[in-house]
Amino acid sequence: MELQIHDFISKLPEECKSAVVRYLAGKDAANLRLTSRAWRDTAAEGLFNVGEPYGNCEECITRGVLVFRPHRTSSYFINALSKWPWLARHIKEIEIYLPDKRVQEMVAALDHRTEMWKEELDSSWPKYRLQNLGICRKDLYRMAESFIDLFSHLTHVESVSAFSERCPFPESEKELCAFWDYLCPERFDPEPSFPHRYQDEPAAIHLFIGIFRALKYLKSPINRLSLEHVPLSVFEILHRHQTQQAVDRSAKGKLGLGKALVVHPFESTLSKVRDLHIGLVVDSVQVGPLLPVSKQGAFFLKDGLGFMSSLKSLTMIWSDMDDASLFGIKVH
Amino acid sequence: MSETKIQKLTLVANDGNKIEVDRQVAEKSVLIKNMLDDLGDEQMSTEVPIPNVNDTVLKKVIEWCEHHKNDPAAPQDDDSDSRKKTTDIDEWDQKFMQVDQEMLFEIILASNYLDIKPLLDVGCKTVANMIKGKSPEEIRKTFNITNDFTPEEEEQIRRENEWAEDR
Repeated sequence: MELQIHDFISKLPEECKSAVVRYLAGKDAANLRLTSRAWRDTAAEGLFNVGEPYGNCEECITRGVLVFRPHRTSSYFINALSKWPWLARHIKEIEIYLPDKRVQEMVAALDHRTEMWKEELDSSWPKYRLQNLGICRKDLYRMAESFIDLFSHLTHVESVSAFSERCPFPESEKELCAFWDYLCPERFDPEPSFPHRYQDEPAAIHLFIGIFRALKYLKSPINRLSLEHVPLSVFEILHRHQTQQAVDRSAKGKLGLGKALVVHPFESTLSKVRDLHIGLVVDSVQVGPLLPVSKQGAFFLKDGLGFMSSLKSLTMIWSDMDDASLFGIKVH
Repeated sequence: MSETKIQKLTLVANDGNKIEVDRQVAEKSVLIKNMLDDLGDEQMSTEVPIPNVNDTVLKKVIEWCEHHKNDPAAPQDDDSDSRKKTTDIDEWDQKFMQVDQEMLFEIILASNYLDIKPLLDVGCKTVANMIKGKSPEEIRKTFNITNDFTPEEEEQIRRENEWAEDR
């Protein structure tokens, strides 16, 4: 008598299940995750589907990876997370994409130079998509500042990455991805010269500082940290900031300024990092011979590595730097 | 050159049945299209084995591709909100998807394998529409899902879900 014997949809591969959940409103996702274990975690991502119409905020969280893109706002997500902290359990990785100058320039030029660009680009020119990108420095700065608040809610993160060279658009945005390929022919050059030259430097500095300051707020020590093209000034600024804080504190407590008061942002959270990948670039603030202050930044980074007692694998990439020996880094 | 270009392909389902289709129709599948692009017409055999899909399902998928063969590759015209997700399905597709759940499941699997994104979307939307507005018990009945939660787990999820309820 039973016509429907099998439970087919629960046997769909994970990526298809996610695709179904993306079409559900938060309330329906909530009901779906109550049906069985097969749907509990997949459908949890659907709880973020509170926008109109549905769709989880431009796919900012998929299968445990929380993604920040320079062209997407993340504020509503942060609000959700601070209100419902248990959602954090579903976030295992954080990926942050850094803004690319070329995309930004293209968007800025759209109004004035549409005709010219049109000729240059082929028919798949995703003009209307670009117009919707709404890149704004202020939003990026806000994003960088929000990291501390956000990270302090995260309990299960194992890996943090920041990408400078990868396509910042989600796979589902086929035209924008194609546009990205168009922008990056030099990726296929046998000798790519300075791949970071397209980095939006002020924004990158802000974002990296935001990341470094926020790392210690993560509730669990991470085991993987991967950062592409970190401008060296980031470490100088962090160093200055930490020293200032120590001075402030010692002034308040009338203590002598001891080294112990300088809290390194690499402490605690990064003590369990096994796999560290970091790319360094000399930014425009630092053209010419490295100034002593830049050395301070380098030493600051070196000190930081001292806190990483679990380190198993370390990759450091220098771009544009004559004097790598400056770092004198030893790993034990 | 155009004389040598393959115009017809024979798709071979996993049970050995052969189905002849226009190249344009077969190319709705990104998997097949990439295969043609990579191999080039000279090296390409006109018989393409589709080992993961059976005859009945393959016929159904081809039916969809035939109907949609002239659709633009990507929505270029609608500039306002094509990015946003809606669960609207056009009328023909709705009728097309009036199948039993096994077939629906197979269509989703096949379109995922063959990389036919618009068909996959239609399939997933159809499932989503069957879930919409139903209670957990009603969803279980619809899809014959067995509740394997302990009462404690269920209670835990209920608590977690609370915030979604008033939205």
